[in-house]
Amino acid sequence: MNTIFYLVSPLVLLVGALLLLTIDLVASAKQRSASYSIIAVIVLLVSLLAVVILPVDGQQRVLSVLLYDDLTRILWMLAHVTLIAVIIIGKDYVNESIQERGLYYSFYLLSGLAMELLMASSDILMLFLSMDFLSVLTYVLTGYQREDMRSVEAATKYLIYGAVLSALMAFGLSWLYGLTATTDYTRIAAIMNGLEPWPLESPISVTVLFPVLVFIASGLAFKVAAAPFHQWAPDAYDGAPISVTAFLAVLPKIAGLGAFLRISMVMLPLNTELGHSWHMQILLFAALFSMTFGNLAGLWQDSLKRLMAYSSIAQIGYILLGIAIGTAHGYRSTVFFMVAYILADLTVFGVILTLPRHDAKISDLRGFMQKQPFLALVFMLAILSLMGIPGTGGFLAKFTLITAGLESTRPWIVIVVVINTVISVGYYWRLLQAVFTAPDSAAVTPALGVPEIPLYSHSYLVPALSAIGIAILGLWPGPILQMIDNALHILR
Amino acid sequence: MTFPILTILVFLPILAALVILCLPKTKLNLIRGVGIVVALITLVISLYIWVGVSQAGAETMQFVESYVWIAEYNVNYTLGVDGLSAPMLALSGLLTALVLFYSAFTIQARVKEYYILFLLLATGMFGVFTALDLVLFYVFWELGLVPMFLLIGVWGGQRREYAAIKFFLYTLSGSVFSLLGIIAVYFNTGTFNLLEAIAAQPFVNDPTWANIVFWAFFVAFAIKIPVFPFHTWLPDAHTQAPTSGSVILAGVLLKMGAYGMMRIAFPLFPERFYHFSVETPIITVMAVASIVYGALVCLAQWDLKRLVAYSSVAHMGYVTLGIAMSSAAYAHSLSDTLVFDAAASGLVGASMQEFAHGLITGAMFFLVGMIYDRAHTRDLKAFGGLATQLPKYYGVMMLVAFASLGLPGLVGFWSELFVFRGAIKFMPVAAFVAVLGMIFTAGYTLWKIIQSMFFGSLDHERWDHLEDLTWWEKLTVAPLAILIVVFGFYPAPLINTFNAAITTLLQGLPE
Repeated sequence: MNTIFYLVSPLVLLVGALLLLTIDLVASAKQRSASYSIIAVIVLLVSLLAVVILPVDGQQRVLSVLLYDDLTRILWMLAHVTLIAVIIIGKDYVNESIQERGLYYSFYLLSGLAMELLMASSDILMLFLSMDFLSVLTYVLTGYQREDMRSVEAATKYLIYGAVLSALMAFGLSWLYGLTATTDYTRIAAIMNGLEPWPLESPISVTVLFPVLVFIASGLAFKVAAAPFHQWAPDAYDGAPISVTAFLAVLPKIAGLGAFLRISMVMLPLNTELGHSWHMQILLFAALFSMTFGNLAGLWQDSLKRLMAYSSIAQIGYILLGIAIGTAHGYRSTVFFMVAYILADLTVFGVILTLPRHDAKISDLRGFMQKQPFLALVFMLAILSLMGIPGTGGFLAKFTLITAGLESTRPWIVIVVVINTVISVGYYWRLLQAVFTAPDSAAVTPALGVPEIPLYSHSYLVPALSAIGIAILGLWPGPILQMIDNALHILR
Repeated sequence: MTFPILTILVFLPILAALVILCLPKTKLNLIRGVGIVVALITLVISLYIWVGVSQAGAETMQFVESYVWIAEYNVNYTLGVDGLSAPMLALSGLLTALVLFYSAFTIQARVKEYYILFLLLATGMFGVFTALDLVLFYVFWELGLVPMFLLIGVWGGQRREYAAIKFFLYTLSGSVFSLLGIIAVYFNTGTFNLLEAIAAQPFVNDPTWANIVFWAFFVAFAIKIPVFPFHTWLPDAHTQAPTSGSVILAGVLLKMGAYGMMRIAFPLFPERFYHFSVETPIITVMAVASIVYGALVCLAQWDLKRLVAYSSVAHMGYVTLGIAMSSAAYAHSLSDTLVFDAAASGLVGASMQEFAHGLITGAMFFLVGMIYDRAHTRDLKAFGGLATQLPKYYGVMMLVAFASLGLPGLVGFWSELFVFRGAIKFMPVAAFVAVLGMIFTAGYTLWKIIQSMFFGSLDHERWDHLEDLTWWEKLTVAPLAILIVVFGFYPAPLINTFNAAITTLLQGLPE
């Protein structure tokens, strides 16, 4: 089969994005208001279908800059499903508060395209281009409410921060290219491991290459908001329209982690000298710093959005740790953890989006249990999963991580994970408590608290399905573990 | 395939919780009815299991069920009971039923959520006492944490949030370290199955790792028991929890720690346990300190509920002492009958104490709740002369208090007898100091509880309106009071069941 077929899905997204823009131009204002979100979801479903029906044939190079295999496939599917979920939970909010929705949703589709390219890239140039493509889209989405100064401020911060880091990454990548005279992951790996000669002078020492690795890692760490390049996240989460916050909380992470996985497995495997410093020094530092910092900073937050930002910084720490460990069990834990994290965050944001007040504080959740018992229950399940309480996907994610960690050459890292788990309870419990306690009638006016009116049925859809997913991951993880192992198998 | 009676016992409460979830929250009596009936059914099942276990000899695991759960990590769903766990199941079933019955009359706010949480808690308790797979054990262990956290945090007293989160953080920090221990044991022995892991004796030749993993388990269980100095969460949690929460907390959840100590920490690392009990006697010191310190704090305590909470610290100290003392037999040859008997007697005493304390403290917290509901104070200085005003309450309280101080003929006596019987042989010094604790116990029971509440002159203005126990309050404490007397006079069923399992356990240990 011609490998070009693997590009059907990205092309569908591109065409879909252009279609939305065209409709925006030609349709009358009345027609326009209707159904951008539905079109976007349909485009995504078609694109998802293209991914699902195309069989994977080992490892295929596409246009010599992309790599398509089982891992690419499940990451692409994950990105599609997540994007659809983000559109559904944000639909009401977008209809209410966002102007120029055609453009807005076309950005969603384009970001889907960018993510697909980023997760499949096997070439440092492609890596850089697709990452910047995605970044630009997220900057614009963050500042999408032009009249809201906070939104603009958040976007500006995000942009400046991102520009610096992508310049840094570009510098690192060009350095790498200068030393190896190739942009291809596999060939770079071959040269660095001594299978092919260095084109310039031989051999280049690890000391020279170490900064390169740091620069690459910084760019990617920025993308997934891992410490020490996380500072943009709380501001961006807080300032962005809440539907975009939900987007930022999950999608760039999938994409960035996909790129991280690919680079770590193909270009810098653990068993090489350079790969060892990549995994055991750079990534390990980022992972441990991220989880510790995120959890400690989360203790002092009152705003739900900011709290979720710090929570995600911490969670990214756990997820990155799997890659840092760099064994089959480590990668397995990363993918599993990622799925558990996405499900939990989708549930949480699905619930937050039903609150009438979009800069909600934790105390605004009071009375949820009595007014919206179903949403309150799934919300609690998601929080328990983030905490890592047994019965949820989050527990088994931590379990896989600790197992991988104890097996690694640095078993002490599991102590850090465990201590962090305890620290994180220090803020997650406030969410549980707030959801469960009776509303404080003096502090919250009814208009701002939990809505008592019945919500649209689609408001329940994503939280309900994610909650089922969390429970399945926690109680019956066999099938998903097998899927992950299949996806990772090819790279071993 | 055998009839999966343990699975039914464990998951029946959660099923009932789901049923209640679907009921409208205004149908209070239906919700209460479902909860109580299901709790009674679990009580009957657990009694049936106890009978079945003792008929089969109680030495080996009965009613075993085993299915693959997570093949990738060799985790199995394995349940089983023996003499060590069967009475604890019955205790859990009994206290759950009583608590739900009592709550039907005392809890009016948010009944639906309250019953759901208690039923979830019940699943966690039954699960802990039946799980034979370490991961499964951990899952059930943590399952009980969240409902209890919410019960304290929502239905509790004035400082409930502080108490709830303190309870949660303490227990969780202990248990996550035990998860590390569990996985480390897995890497060493290749199995999560408890019995296989015990047979394989992890880290025998690797003292460093053995120490780390042993302490990981020990601290987790020690926090739950709680052993001094890990006890500070307990007074707050018990004092702030609603009456029913305190009953379950003291009556069952603390026993989960003791049970874990006996079922997991001691058999997996008998040599380490011995080392830290005798050669470097940290555990023994902690146990004796719990007994003496707990009793001394009680002597200085004027808040009745806090006093009962601290008395738990003291009483659970005997459990730790019993286990520590049994491990001391490790220095001698277990094939010596006298040594073996003494070792077994320590563990039997510890198990008896688990059970007895469940009955006694359960009843005690009920009684505290009953007086608080009437008087709206727990300040012992405010009371006095209640014996004439509340004669029935006085009678039950006398009985329970005397059981608490270990009066012969009541259930509390036997556990202390067995623990000290072993302790005198192996650890005379510790036994001597612990006896001081018993004297203090008698002191605070007689002086604080009996004298300051019931004797002296009655403050007529304040307490004339107090009424004696209602019919449902009598029905709540009566089963406990009766069992305290029955097992006091005839402890054989308990002793035999425990002894059979403990004999097997000790025989399975390496020399």
